[in-house]
Amino acid sequence: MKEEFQNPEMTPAMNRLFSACPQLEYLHIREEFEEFIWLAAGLRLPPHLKYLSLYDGRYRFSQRLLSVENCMALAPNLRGLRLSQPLNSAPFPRLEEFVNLTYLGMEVTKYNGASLLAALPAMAGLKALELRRVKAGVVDDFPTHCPHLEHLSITDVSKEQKLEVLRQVGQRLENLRSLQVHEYRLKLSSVDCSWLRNVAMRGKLEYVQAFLGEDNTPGVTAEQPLPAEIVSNCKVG
Amino acid sequence: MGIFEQGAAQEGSFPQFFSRNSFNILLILFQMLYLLSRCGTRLVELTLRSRFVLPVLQQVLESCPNVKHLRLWSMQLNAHAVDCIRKTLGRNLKSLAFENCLSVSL
Repeated sequence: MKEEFQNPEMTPAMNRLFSACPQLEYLHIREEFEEFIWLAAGLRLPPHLKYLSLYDGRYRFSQRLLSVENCMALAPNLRGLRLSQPLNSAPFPRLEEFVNLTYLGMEVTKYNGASLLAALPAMAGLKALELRRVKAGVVDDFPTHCPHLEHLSITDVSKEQKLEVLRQVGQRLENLRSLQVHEYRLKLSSVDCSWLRNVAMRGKLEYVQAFLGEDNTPGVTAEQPLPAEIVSNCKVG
Repeated sequence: MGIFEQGAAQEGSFPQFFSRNSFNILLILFQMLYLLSRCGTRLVELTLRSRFVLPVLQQVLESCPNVKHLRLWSMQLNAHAVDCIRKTLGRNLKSLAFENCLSVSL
């Protein structure tokens, strides 16, 4: 952190603010530029928060903000957690402590993939999941441990993994109502759509969002529209 | 005609020390404060951007005592501004968002 932008009086002031907000349930912090950092390690997040959203830029303040103390204090009440960057420090994410999470959004990497898997059995109540850069092997156990998952969003999936994740997870999620695939290179072929058709025909899927674009996969030459039964049964974004 | 223009017209001429831009900013500021004094108590969501000098920030927040959702967007903050938010809105706040806020010295 550049010294000229440090402001030691801000952290106590923010702590006073948080302690004076007994009804505060949702906190969103987005800092994209290193020069604008005003978040210090001593910041104590309100323990009664229900939703926490942290969006890092180049400078990863989340690493310091989600200290062990803050995580332990937040865990009992937190319902939603959304992180923009992967956290690679050992203590966090202590996801297994967040037993009441119903919404989780995070980037899955080799650093936190193990933590995510270890936390799955404790997250039986998870209803919404947003994953970025996830690999197929990491999410094999999601349908088993998160049977109530209703909303699934997968972004920045690598080309090699692009549909394997969706097949493995989507096919076995009985309660899935919303599926979003934000991958502009992803193109759903008729084979790829077969599992999606099965999900849609179960009658619970209400919303599908997939961006169809160019694909160099051999044998796939033309853009494939979503199957008619999916379009008729669901709202397609 | 806005309230500042009315005042200036009654005076007979615009103050010479205001440039056109700063006059426009003042005009908007006065209009905003006037609007908030009339309907601020009904607001439950408020987004603030850029920099407010402390008295203006205090005036804005005191005009909107029922705000529950506060978003600070590219705000220049210092400890006094944060304390001002705490004193005026702290008890009612349900959601709070900071986006690219800049910490400035007191």
